Amino acid sequence: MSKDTSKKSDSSIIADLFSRDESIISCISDEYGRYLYKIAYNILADDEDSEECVNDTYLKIWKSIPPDKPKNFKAYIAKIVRNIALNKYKEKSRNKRIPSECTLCLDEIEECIPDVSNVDKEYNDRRLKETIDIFVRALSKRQRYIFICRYYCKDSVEAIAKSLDISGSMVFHELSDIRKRLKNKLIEENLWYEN
Amino acid sequence: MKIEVLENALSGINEKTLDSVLSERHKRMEKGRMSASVSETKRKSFFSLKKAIAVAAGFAVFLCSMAIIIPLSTRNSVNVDDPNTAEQLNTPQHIEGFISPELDELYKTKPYSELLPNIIPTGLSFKSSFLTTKDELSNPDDRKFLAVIFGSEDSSLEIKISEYDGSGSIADPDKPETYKLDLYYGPIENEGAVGADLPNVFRIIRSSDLSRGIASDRLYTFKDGVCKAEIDILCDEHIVSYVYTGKEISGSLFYDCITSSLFFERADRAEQMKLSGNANTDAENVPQYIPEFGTPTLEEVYTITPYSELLPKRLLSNCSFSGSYMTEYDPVANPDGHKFLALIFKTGNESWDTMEIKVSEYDGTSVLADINDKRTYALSYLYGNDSPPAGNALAGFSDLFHAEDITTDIIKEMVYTLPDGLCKAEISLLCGDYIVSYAYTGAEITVESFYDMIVSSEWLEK
Repeated sequence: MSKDTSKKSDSSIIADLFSRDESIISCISDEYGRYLYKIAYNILADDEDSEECVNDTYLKIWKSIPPDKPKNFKAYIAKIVRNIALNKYKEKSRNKRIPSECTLCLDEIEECIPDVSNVDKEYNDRRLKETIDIFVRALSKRQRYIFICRYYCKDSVEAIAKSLDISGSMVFHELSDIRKRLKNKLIEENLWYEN
Repeated sequence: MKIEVLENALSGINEKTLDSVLSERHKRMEKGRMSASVSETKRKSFFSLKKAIAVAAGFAVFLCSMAIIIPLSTRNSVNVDDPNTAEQLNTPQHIEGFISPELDELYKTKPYSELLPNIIPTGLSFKSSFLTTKDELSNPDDRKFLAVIFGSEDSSLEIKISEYDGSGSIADPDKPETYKLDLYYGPIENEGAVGADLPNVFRIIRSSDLSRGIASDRLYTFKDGVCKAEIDILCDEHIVSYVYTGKEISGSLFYDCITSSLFFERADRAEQMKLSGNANTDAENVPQYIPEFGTPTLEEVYTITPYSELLPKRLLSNCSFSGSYMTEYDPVANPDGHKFLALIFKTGNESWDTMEIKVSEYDGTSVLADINDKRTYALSYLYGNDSPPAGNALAGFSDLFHAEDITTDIIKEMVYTLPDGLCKAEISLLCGDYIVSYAYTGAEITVESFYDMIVSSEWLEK
């Protein structure tokens, strides 16, 4: 079978996955390989591990579609690679500090999000999730973009600035403002206390 | 902090919000990659044609750079009578793409006019300068920088301004061991011992971290009396590097020299106004410290083309003007000509109660909403729990409409109140070559009032 290397739409990628056409994996790799690698690398800061995560992601996509039929393919595969990379991160960070954007993000946001591991864990976990959701929705479009890119995708400040055509200092400024607001919101909800 | 805690918190973010941002992120990353790749291809093809000349020019650039770096990096003072001084060697006018502007010209050209100091240590006078322009032949890496040299019989000061590429470690103002120059130039304890190494001392200091103490710590006087002062100041997107060699100067003088630039003056003014509680300097929204940004008042924006035509004449009743920022085309400070204006209004007492109106140039890449399918634009699908009907695979979300398509029915879908009473209203209108975006968060507003504001611009009236 000749390999179709032309650019495919997300819906035709899903259609090919449903028809179990194996050549679609190389199409996904051409189209999204770099995108997936970047997400994994932000978390792991290691070429080999990131490549491995991307390959595991292709396998996971192949296994999960069908039955899944994602409405937003890009977001769907981003979540898969992120979860795989985070699992690897947890495993590796048991023994040493990993010098990645993920570690920097954790250091940054530590001052806002408390570790609710002790008291009423389940209840507080749920409330924390709800509060974060409301908080993110209330952000302006640009701040929402910056918050999710930085803390969900672990993008570097420079990468976010470049994607928004603004200066790095502007992104730093926005992030520090978002963290300040988040802390206030958590204090308001009685979800914050000194770690 | 444990990663599980953060991940648990983030898992609460609504799926649709997340999907929408992730799609936007991918689109923007792709756009960045494509433009980088196009410029790289252009550069390579040009480079292959002119390779021989470029290599020769590059070598000449290297020689000239060395010519300036060597005399100024050395601990020995500059002797202007020596034919091999900086002055003689640092006028590479024969190299295409390099120019040697006069000091007066530099103080009229952005960003240098903002970043160069206005106070120079006594006795030093302007000797020479060189500036690279964006020339693909002589400067194939597109690294734009300026070097200005001041000198006297026994001292020299080189100030270099280059675009910050994100490289280099930044000193921590709370840890003197990361920036003190005597740790670098001073005697090393246990010299010769196994494992003795130079300490990690960094030159880069963020402009906001600079203090008299840090400036003094970046000075070192050798036993023979020669003083050395070195510092790289990170000023937003530029690094301003100072290298002084010569007779002893005080840390205070060095600090005054560095902070005498317009950049520091503006930052200082913004800080003072912020402390005095001036609403117009809400640091969140008015980045006055960014030199290429302007902050026009509400009255002023209505006198600037094209904003005067595109902005609404009527605003929501609960909005009060809080600040603005605007970039204007400038061949040096803003060479891409990415022009935009943002106006920020407060809509209530909470920090998130805001409305932002942004006007930006349309680059032809944004996806328009399908006016016949509200699933592609209605905020209830983005913020609420409405699920698109089955079969709606991969419907892309967008709040961008052709201005002429706007109806009250569409606006009705773009105003949404969250269960906790917080109202969101978002829409972007394509008006000719510009996109006018509205993003409102605050107390509940009516569809009619939002519509009335949007259609009140001269452009829509026409």
